[in-house]
Amino acid sequence: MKFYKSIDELPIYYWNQIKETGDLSNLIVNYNGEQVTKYQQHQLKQIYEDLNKQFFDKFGKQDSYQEQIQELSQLYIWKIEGVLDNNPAAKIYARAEEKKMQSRETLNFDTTMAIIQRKLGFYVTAKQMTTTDYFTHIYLISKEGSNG
Amino acid sequence: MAKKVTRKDVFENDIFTQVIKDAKEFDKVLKGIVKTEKQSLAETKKFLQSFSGNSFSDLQKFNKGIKEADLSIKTLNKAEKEQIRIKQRIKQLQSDQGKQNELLKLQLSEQRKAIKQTAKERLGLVSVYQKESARLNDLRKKYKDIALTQGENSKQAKRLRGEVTKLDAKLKKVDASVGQFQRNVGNYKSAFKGLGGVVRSTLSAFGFVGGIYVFANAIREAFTTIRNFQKENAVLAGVLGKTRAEIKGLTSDARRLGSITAKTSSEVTQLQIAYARLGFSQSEILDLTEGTINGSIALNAELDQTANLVGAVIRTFDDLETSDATNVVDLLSAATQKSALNFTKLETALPIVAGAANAAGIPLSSLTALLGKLSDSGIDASSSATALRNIFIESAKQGLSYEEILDKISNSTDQLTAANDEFGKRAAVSASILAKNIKETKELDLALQDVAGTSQRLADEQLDTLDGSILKLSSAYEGFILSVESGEGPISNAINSAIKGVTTLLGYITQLNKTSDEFGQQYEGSISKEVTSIIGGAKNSEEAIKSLNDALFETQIKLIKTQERLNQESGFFDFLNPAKLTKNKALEQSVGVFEKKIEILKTAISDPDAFLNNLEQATTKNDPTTPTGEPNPNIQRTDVQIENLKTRQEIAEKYREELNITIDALKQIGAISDEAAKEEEKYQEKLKKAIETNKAAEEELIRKDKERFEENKKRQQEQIQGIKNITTTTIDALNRRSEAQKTALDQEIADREQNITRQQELAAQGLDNSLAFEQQKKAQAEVERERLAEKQQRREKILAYFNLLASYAEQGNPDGAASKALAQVAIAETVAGFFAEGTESVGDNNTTKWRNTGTDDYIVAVDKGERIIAADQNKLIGDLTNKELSKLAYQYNQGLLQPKVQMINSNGEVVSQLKQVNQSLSITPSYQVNWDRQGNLIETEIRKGIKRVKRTLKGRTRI
Repeated sequence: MKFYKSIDELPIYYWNQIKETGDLSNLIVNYNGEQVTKYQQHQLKQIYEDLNKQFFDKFGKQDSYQEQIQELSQLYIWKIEGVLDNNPAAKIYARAEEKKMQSRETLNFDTTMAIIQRKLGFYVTAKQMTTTDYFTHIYLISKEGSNG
Repeated sequence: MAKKVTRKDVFENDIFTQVIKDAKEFDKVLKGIVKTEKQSLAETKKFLQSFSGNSFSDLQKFNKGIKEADLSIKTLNKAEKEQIRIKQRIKQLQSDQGKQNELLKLQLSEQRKAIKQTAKERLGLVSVYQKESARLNDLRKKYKDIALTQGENSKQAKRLRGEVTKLDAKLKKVDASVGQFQRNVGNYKSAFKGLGGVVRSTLSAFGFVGGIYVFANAIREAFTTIRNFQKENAVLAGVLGKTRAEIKGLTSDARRLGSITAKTSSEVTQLQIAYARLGFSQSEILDLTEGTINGSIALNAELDQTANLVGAVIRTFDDLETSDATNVVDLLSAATQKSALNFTKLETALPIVAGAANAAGIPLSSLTALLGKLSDSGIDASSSATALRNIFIESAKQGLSYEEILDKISNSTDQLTAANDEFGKRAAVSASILAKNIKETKELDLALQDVAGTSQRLADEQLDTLDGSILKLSSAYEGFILSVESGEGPISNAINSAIKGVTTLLGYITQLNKTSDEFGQQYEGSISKEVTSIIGGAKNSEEAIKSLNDALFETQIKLIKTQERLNQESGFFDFLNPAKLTKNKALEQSVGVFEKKIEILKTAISDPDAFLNNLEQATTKNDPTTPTGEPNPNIQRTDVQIENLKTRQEIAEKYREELNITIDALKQIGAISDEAAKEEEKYQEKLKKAIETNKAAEEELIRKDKERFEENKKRQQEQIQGIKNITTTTIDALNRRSEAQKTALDQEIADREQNITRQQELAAQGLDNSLAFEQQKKAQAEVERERLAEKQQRREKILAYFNLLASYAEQGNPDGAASKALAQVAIAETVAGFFAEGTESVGDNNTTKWRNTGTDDYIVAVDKGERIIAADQNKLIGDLTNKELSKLAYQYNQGLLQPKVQMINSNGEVVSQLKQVNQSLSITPSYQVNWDRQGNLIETEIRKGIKRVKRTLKGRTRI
């Protein structure tokens, strides 16, 4: 049984599947439904953690990503203050922040793929594009957007 | 005597204790959970605050942290909700327990009352009069219940009402016949109707009744008064189209008038509402109110009716203003004194004629004088007013004054015709009357122009009665409550000094006398200083505004938090809990201060320079003159305040006097209570005596009973001893005879044995012999001997019975001795039987040593506590089943079975029994057998005292 061990080779289709379903068998190359042993399950978990680390090392330092994390962090600080100190203002801020985060427009996977394809000028399937390529394209597109 | 019922027997104090304990335990656990979760959240918060997001491991920790935070928040919310629920539950349980206890207390108290009443009745301490009085009370209570449940006009209610009236009248008649009128005078409830609970509260406060429960009523009533007053003020504000803050002047005037007049503050507010509805402004209402109150009392009218009339008059006459209200009222009051007019007549007449009078330039005094004169002549108000209106209109039409026309009529010979000619038939009669009374009318008019203070005087006169005093007291009480509520102190001070016991109550209520607004005002100065320092500390106005905005934001947050706490912690009954009250008041104070601070900050933010300037001006308020040299209005205000204070002190002094009068009145009531207490003492004395007498009689009875018992015992003991002696002697004699018989039989048996041996030898030699005969005779002798032994045993039993009988009789219960002795003998016989054969109870365990001691080969299983009965014993009880036997034994033990042997209860019976014994002894044949040396059988028989001797020779019988 062979596994995808790098985001440079893992097709974005399977990365997205894992994020949507949590099913780590998507990391098995050419998987056709055979039995996954406990040992293999353990291996898959470790691989997935490593892939996340790879992802963070490549894209985690980007400002937009850091901002998101900081926003989430602040949201939880307010939530906790609201409960710990019974601070109504903190509760109000937390609710407002949550609302803001929920209302933020997010593109779904298929739309993002379509945008990338249009940008590339050719058709590429999600099974052909690696995870690294996908996020690099997104980074470049968003950078272009913010510059233009 | 029954055991005394104690509180412990009745109140199950711990009925809810365990549940409450469990709930408290649960609460503890919840507190633990809350503490742990809070600690966890605090740690997460710390992590999040220092979280940089630079490493993947950080990110992992972050993910874990927020997941845990979500979980903790969820748990915490749940635990806190649960805590609230459990606290409410504990509270409810404690309240339930309290209710339960109160219910039982009430039941016990009712029961005691009923027992006391029954005891009184039994001891004859309740007279017919008292019984009838009690019945009247019961009937009244029943009537009230029925009236409420079935209606006052229901058949049963009517019947009860009839009974009540009849009985009440009957008792009043009896009272009156001996010069007692308590049924009316002492009926304080009706006398003090106007005061209701107020008097009860005051009585309690002065210690005359001493009921602590009234304290709670006082608080409740105080709050009802305050609430109603506030509600009415809200209505007034609504009618005037103002806020409650904007009608403060009217509110405080209502409080003032409520305190110093016979009308309550609430009634005064209702009067203000009536004027507001008539379209008068606030200042006009202030002018009108006091006069109207006096007028209402003087004219004996309702406040709103008086307001309508006075208002209408002032509105109608051009020369009258609201400040003339007192004059108007004085005039109208005087008119009712100096003429046949009354309020109703004025109320009817003035609206009809006032408009025309004003148009004709006729002043109110003249109009009232005219109406008064017509009323004196018996003309009804409506007709006279209509007639006067026509007179005024017609006069104006003719370009003359009504006086000139009246003069003309007066001078004519036929006044009625002249009047008819002048004013038409509808006004003719009135005009002719007025024409006849021109002089008197003028005099009355003049008199009505000099009536200042009439209404006040009349009002004072009317209130100088018991009812009036009570009304004033009621009103004063309400004024006191409202003054405490508003923070106006003199009355509360006066009462405080007089009523020490209510100090606590006043303390509580005083806590309530400041609103958050007032707190804000109180701290306005210090807040302004604080704001000034913020502005002063800034480098420029931009920085000042920023600092002010920061302070504003911070204050707003604090306000939200404090309000939230206040909402959570305040409850309806907080006023009963001084600690909570103080705490909540502190929160309320904070709210006031924060609100004020926000207000000041907002003002400062809008224009910091102007704010500073205003503040500077305000600090010069203590200077006697302004910079322009004019008197400082602030100082003037202070003077007014001093004046007000003086007035208040005067009012306080006045009330102290009234209070002293009230105290005297209450002391009288106290004296009546003392009388009642004396009566109660007398009753207790009687009760005590009755109990003592009863006790002595009881002791005498017991002593006599004891004597009788001792005599009886002695006599029976003697009888039993006699029987015993006779029996012992008889049995001894019989036993001696039996012994002799037994010896003879033994001898015979021995002889027979010798004979048998001899006959056996003869038989062995083949000679003739009587072996068979000898053997038969020996057997007979043995049977006879056994029979004798049995007889002797029976006699022993009889003797044992009498010995026991005598012994029990000596122990002190001759009546029970016979049965007891018999039972003992029977038991002894049975026991003896058991030990001889059969098996007693196998006991509680299988270690009993008589296991397997049966006389035959049967092996039976016997369970714990069971027993076996021997064959002969079984026969003795007639083969009864175990069930039947145990049932019989149970019935015997319970005294349900009459023993077959009659109890020896009297001398006659003893003698009879004794005769029977003697007879049985005498009719029993005595039989003695012996052999002489020749071997002949000698039988001696004594039957019925006759001795027969029978000698049987060998081979034949001879007598």
